[in-house]
Order: sequence, then C-alpha cells, then structure tokens
Amino acid sequence: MSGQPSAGVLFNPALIDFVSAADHGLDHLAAIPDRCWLDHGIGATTRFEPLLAPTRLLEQAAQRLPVVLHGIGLSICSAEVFDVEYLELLAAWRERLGCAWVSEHLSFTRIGGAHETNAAMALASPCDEEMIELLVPRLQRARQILGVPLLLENAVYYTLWCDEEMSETVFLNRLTSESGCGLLLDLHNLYTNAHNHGFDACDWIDALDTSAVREVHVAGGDLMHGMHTDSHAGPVYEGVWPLLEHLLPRAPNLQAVTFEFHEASWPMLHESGVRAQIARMRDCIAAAHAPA
Amino acid sequence: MPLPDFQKAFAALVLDAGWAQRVREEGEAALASWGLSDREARRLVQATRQPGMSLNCTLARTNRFAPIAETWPMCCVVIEPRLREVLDELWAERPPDGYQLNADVERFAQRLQTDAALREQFPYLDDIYRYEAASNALAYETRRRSAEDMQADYIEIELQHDPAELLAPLLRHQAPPAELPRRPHRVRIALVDAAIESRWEPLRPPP
Repeated sequence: MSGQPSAGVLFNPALIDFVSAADHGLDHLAAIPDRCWLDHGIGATTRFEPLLAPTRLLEQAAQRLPVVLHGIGLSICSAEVFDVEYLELLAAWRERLGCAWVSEHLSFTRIGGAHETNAAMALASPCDEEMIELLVPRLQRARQILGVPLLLENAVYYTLWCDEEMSETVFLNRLTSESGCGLLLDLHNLYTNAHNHGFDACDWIDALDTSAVREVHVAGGDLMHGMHTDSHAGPVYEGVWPLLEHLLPRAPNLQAVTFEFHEASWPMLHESGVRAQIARMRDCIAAAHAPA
Repeated sequence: MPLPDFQKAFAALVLDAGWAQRVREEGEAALASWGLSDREARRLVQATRQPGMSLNCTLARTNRFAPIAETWPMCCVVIEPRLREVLDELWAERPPDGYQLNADVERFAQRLQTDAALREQFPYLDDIYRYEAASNALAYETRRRSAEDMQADYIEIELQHDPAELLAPLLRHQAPPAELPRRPHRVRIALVDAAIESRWEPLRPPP
C-alpha cells in the first residue's frame, strides 16, 4: 500500500466468494481478528480458544489481499483493564497475516474489578487530562508489543459529557502526538456525532491534525429514536461522501479507505453494491489526487 | 477510585434503562452510593437527561440479544410472547461478563432447558430446544474440526411433533401452527457443506 490510498473492505464471512473472485477490485482487506477466537476471559485456563472455520476463511482471504487488523476487544479506555495478553495475541495475528498496522477503538466496553463485566456497547470517556494520562503510557506499551503502527478509531457517542476539559479534536491531537499512534478516522462515526449533536463535521476535520490519519472507515447507518446510529447497515450513508472528499486532500499520510458493513446487510448490497461503494471510493481518491 | 466507579456507573446505566430513568428523575441523589466526584455525578445525570441515553440502552439490549438470536433463533420465535420478560429477568441477574457475550447465550440456554413453566406454556419448546441444541453442537464442533472432516458426523434426536410442520415455518422465523398433534419422529441432523441439514422419519406410522 503506497502512493494513493488503497480501497478496501472490512472482511466478513459474506464476502468470501466476492474476495475469491478475480475481479473484486479491492486493494486491501481489514479484518476483525476477534472473530477467530473465543475469549474465555483473563485468568481462564485456556484464555483464547481458536475457531477453525473463521480462521480458515480469513487465511484464505489473506492469501489474495493485504490485510490490516481491526481489533474490537482491547477496550483501551477501561480504567481498570489493560490487557497485555490480548495485545500479544493481536501481535501474533499481525505477524501471521503480515499486517502493516493494527487499529482499535478509542472507547471502553470492559469494566474491571474482581470479576470483569461488560457494557455491551462501546462507550466514550470524557476528553479529560486524566484520560490522556491513562492512555499515553498504555499506547506506548501497546505499540511496543504490536511492533507495527497502532491506529486509534474516533468513537461514536450518543450522549455528550458536560465540562470536558478539552474538545475531542484537541484530545485526539494530544493523544497521537504524545503516544506516537496514528488515527483511523471513522467518517461515519464523525457524521453520526455531528448529525446527532449539531456540529459541523468539516470544521471538526479542519481542527484535527490530519497528518495522523492513516486509515479511513466509511459506512452506512440508520435512524432510530430520531437519532442517526452507527449500524453499518447497507451502503455508505450519502452524507459521509462529502466528508471523505473534504478529508482526502488534507490527509497526506492516508494509506487506506475501508468500507464497513454488517454481514446482515449483504442481501441489501450483494456484490454489485459492494463494487459500487469501492468504485465511488476510488472516484473520490482519484479526484483528490488529480493534478491541479 | 473515581474513574473506575464512573465507568462502572455509566455502564450500569446503559444496561438498565429503569435505573437510568430513576437517575434522570432523582438526579445526583440516586448516585450517592457510587463514590463519584461531584463532576462525575453531574455528568452522568446530564447524560441520562439526553435523548441519546435511551438509544444507548436500546443498543446495549440489541447487542446482548444478537448472539442469543443467532444461536437459538427458533427457540426465540417459539417463546416470543414471553421472550422480553425472560431476557429482562436474565439480564437483571448480572451484566455480561465478556465482550463476546458468550455467557449470556449459555445462561439463556440454561433457562430454556430448566424452566418447567416455560416448557408447559410452549409445548413445542422441548422439541425445538433439542433440535437447536443438536444443531449447535455440530456447529461448535467446527471450532476444532473442518467441515470436510465432519461429513460423516450426525446427531439423532427424537421430536414429539412432525418436523415438517414444526421446522418449516420456524426456518422462516414464523411460529408453527398451534396445537399440532403429537406424532413422534426420529430426526438425523448433519452438517453438509457447512450448513445444517435434517432428515426425519416417523417413529410410528400415523394412525
């Protein structure tokens, strides 16, 4: 992956035939490695139980295309959980598939203590100095374990925190500069937050240090309870494309644009729908890189 | 430890819409036992008073339900009139204990297996539980063995109702016809080309 950003898709089992076809039109795959194991929890006799069928699918896909990893289980913002065992497993998978980077969500789901529990959804923490102090040493250690760049994905949040000590963009700029991590800028998360909380997403991008952005996610969503949700349903939400067009000329280190969809959406998309998203991503990329 | 307690309290609010409503109505006093700073308590109360809090609660429930519906889809249809109540009771007992939510699925299965009142109210539950448990056992086996290695594997079970009338609507996520007569069948369940396939024959010829 060099020169112009590559165009790819977040791998799911519905895509196996598509990825196996000669004319899929993809440059890369992002993959959730957590689909390849059962995590029985910290302290379990056998913590990670490998799952043969999804592992084979992913390995089959990785023979055809470069893969980057997109973890969902680290919960890096959890106050009481910093999971080195999990990071070591990600590092092993990174090496096994030859991934150029690993990304994770800037949020928490895991609640520590004597018996770990879970929030059942990714939750954002307030943008405070306390969180920067918690995260920076963790992220430095995580980078060391992974041995490749670690990208942090901006969170989606349906409620706002009052009295935050800094804006989200200042928080992200501080985190990336102090930890050495890059950003996975999820433009659908940004669209969702901007729509639900009434701010201008392009202004948000302008306030971000976009030189830290290495990968972008684009996706679809739904309206629920009068709010836009990050459901990954169907094609890329129309309002996300202008954000990609706005970002592309401002992100000099961007290497990949990845389309995410939930496999339950496959009947809405089929191969033609996925191809259409990839084609539109390529059009955006080409337009941004066209000579002036 | 304010930050751990703050995160714990926020997760608890997301997982319990009833408690979120109480905090919305009663304010900081409802959080008094959590050992939070004034700012943390104020933040949580303000969060519960935003429309997004109700969405958080809905999404957490959806996420908890997804692996249950994926593993026991037919049982969910069979007990649909009481499904919400069963889930509420299970989830009120304790929060999920892993990000893959596997323990929730196991606890749901245990409830289906052991709740005599549920089995009495839904006469097909016994059959469908047995059918899905056997299908899941074969699917779980693919964790360790390839589908090709399992071509000769099968599980035989007995159902008390005609599988043709029972399973066909459930495969379309529809409830089977009420009051099917008892007509025992032997069902052989196998994994063919990575998909569950069932064949059956009556244990006794119909009268």
